[in-house]
Amino acid sequence: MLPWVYEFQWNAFHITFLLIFFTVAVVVATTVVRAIVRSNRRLAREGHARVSWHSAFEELPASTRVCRHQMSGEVRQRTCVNEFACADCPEHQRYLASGQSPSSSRPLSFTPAVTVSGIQLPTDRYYDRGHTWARIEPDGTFSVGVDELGRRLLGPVESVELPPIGTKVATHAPAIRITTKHGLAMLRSPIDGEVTYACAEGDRWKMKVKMDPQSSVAHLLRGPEIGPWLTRELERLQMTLSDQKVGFSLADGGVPVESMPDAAPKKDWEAVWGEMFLEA
Amino acid sequence: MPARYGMVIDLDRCTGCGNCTVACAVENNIPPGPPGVTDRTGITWMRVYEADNGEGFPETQSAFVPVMCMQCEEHTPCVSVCPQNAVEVDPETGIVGQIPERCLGCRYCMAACPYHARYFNWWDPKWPEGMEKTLNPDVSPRMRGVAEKCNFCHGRLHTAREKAAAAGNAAIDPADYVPACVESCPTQAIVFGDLNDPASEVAKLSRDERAFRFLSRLGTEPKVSYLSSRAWVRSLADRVLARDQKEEARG
Amino acid sequence: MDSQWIPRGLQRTSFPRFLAWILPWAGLLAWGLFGAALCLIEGLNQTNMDNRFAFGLWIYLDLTIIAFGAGAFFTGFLLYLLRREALRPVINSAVVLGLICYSGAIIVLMVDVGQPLRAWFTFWHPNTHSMLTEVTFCLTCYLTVLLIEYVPVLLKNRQFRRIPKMLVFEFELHKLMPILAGVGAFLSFFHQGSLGGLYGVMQGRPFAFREAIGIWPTTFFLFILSAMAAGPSFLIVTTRLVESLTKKRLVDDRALRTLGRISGFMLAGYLALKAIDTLVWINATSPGAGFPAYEYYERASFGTWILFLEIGVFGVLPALLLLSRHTREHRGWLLTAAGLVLSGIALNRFVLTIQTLALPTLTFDPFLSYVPSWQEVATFTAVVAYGVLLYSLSYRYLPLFPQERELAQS
Repeated sequence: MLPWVYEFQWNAFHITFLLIFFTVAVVVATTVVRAIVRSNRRLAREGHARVSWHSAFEELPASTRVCRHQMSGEVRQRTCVNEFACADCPEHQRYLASGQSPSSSRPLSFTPAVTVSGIQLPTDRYYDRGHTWARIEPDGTFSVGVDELGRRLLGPVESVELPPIGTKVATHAPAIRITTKHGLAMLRSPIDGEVTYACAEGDRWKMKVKMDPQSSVAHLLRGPEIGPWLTRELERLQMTLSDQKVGFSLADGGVPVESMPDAAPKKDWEAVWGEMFLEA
Repeated sequence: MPARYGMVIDLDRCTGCGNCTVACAVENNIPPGPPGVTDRTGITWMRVYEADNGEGFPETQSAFVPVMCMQCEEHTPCVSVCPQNAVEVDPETGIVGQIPERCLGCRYCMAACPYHARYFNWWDPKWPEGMEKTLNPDVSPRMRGVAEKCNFCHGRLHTAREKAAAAGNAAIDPADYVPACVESCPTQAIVFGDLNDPASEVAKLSRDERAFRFLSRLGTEPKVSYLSSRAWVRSLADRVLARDQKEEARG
Repeated sequence: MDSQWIPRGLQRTSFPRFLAWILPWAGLLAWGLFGAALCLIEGLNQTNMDNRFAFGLWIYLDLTIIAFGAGAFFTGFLLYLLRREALRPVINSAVVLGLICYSGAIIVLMVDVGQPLRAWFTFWHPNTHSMLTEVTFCLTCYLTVLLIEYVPVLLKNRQFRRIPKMLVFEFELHKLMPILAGVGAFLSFFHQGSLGGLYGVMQGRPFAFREAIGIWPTTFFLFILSAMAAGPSFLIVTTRLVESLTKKRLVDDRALRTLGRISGFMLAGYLALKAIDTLVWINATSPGAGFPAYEYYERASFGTWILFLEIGVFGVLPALLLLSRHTREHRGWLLTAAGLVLSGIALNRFVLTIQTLALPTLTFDPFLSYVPSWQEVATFTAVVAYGVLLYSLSYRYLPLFPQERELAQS
């Protein structure tokens, strides 16, 4: 195998054979080492949270990755390939430029809330596709919260773990850990920024984030987009629930109960949350 | 010039007594067969087959064919297949040597051997109490799980070399190196010697018109030849010959 | 009970039912390990192999499952290097099956050799002229590659993903898959070939010996092609089997049809070359070595029917079924054709291993037969049980079929 080992033969055949073998061994070893080095570097650069979103997005089924412009009816069919980062999506820019897109509207406090199947979502804020929202406050920061559908999905909360004041949160990175008696849910942050206020007492919590100046809310849903999105989300929920063969489904015209987990405690709620909150 | 040891076996002389097989086993420390051993799992470096001309009584004729490693010279099938160089052809003697200490026991060499002349140690070698006294101190026994085969009594070659060295000679005396089977054959059917020495009996006999080699069309150039004056025995050399012989007999 | 470990959104049977499925296989595994242990402790006298039948059931099945496991490298090659995206739905399953086939074969080989502890000798002083050396090197390297390819599948588990290091490592390793797929294809090419070469180089066995092209006998190339035909078919059969056991749809028909078509193409190419090879062998190679070819088929039950069965029923027929769009798009025919392909490859490996050794070479030597001992059967059962267990665990706890969630919802 090596020149100083007994039975090593100095002929072209022997040497070619071993060279190929060593090349293969080196390539395989380098690949593994490269993956380790790159993952360490990425972990240091972007942190686990962002990578978890890269990786989670790859796993999302096409039905979850439907483009916002398809939901609003601007395009017949489009699936997102850009990790929901509308700010740097050329297609999105094209729709904005037309001036007609509902994506270019701004949240207004005086328009009535959107109601679909008894779920009411106020239009004064931006919504993330993982059921968190961000609302701009008079002081320029954003309040961050979970929307009505998310609240009913979670049911009574036992404890909430918020990122401490002063830490950075990143868009779509898991930021809020919520524990209920049915398990643990991770909610993704709707925006990039620094936590300026975080207070959780029992099941009540409040959190404020000062958005990074270079960041934007372009990827968040607003105004006329909320209704179609919520309708779609309820369909997705129904699909997720019916997929698990147990229990109830949302009959047409029905209204989701106040606490869904308590209504069907036997379900794998962590799985449902994962599906609806876009967890990996 | 290096030696090329070979053998010539006269099938017209062989009576099938099996003395060679016993002498071989004793010389080379072949362990006694354990319970359950068969002719297919036992170790018989030297093995005597019986062949007949396929005719019914009274035309039946038989021949006994001692078969051992034929020490193939070209493309030695067992050498090229061994993954870890446990089989080597000694350039000094032309003997195909098996190195049990290196053998993995994959048995690829056994599958590759056209003469079925390789054997595997299916059991741990064991000598019953008292029988270990028959062990030959010049030959090391082999462990379980390795292949082995005839090596023209390599232990005797070593002894002959030691004797020559002690006497201050560079070459061995041919009379000192005679494999056990040759020595034990009561009809002297087996002749052994250096094929590269044109004066040797073995070289002369191997060129005899009665001489033939088994499966020579495989192109492995075996160094063991056989002698027979009977055409049907010579036609046993390979299947094409055997077929032609049969057709000829039928007319 | 173990719901935290089951991929999110996938429906899996209850833990007790899963246990009920696992336990009999675990029992078979234990029985098989007992048989294998006997062979390792007592020696290979526990088998019915002998000096003439130096190879038996184990080598035959090794060659067969390695051919079946070719789906892993071939699918990886088509997907990552040739960008056949239609195959993405089966790639994870292909990797797991490849891993099972290859690791199983190597485990059996370790029992099969007389001195397993000396296996490293081949690496330390290799005889590079031996096909077995090529096989040993490539199999070891490729098993390493398969293990590395299995890591991202394994790390996709719900609980492992929560560990930041594992998640990021999986993400990065997955991006390097094309390199591993390339290396895997390269290695597989050589070891599938050299497994065929194993027999083709045996100059002393004219039934197996074939003319050389370059440094390799024709069986080298025939084995590569036949493995490429068997691999995709094995994926079709196993996927359908898992689907029927779990009563679920896991892969859309498009992926399986693509596999079927690829298998059909490979099989057709293989058959064409095999026909030429067989004719050359019957008319030149074998008689030239002193062996009239028809004599091979005059012994015991090994008649020429075996040749016609292999080339006709298990060859031409499935090739036609797979190449015709009409039958390929019919689920039943596709499955039948894939099953026939596998039978043909299994028969080919049987002929090459068992028939080669059963046929005598010396004119006065009889035809021999061999029946494996229970220890041999048990050892192999252990590998099958190990495969079923590893696959069942992978299926339950890892997202093996990326389309499963969507297919369940539609």
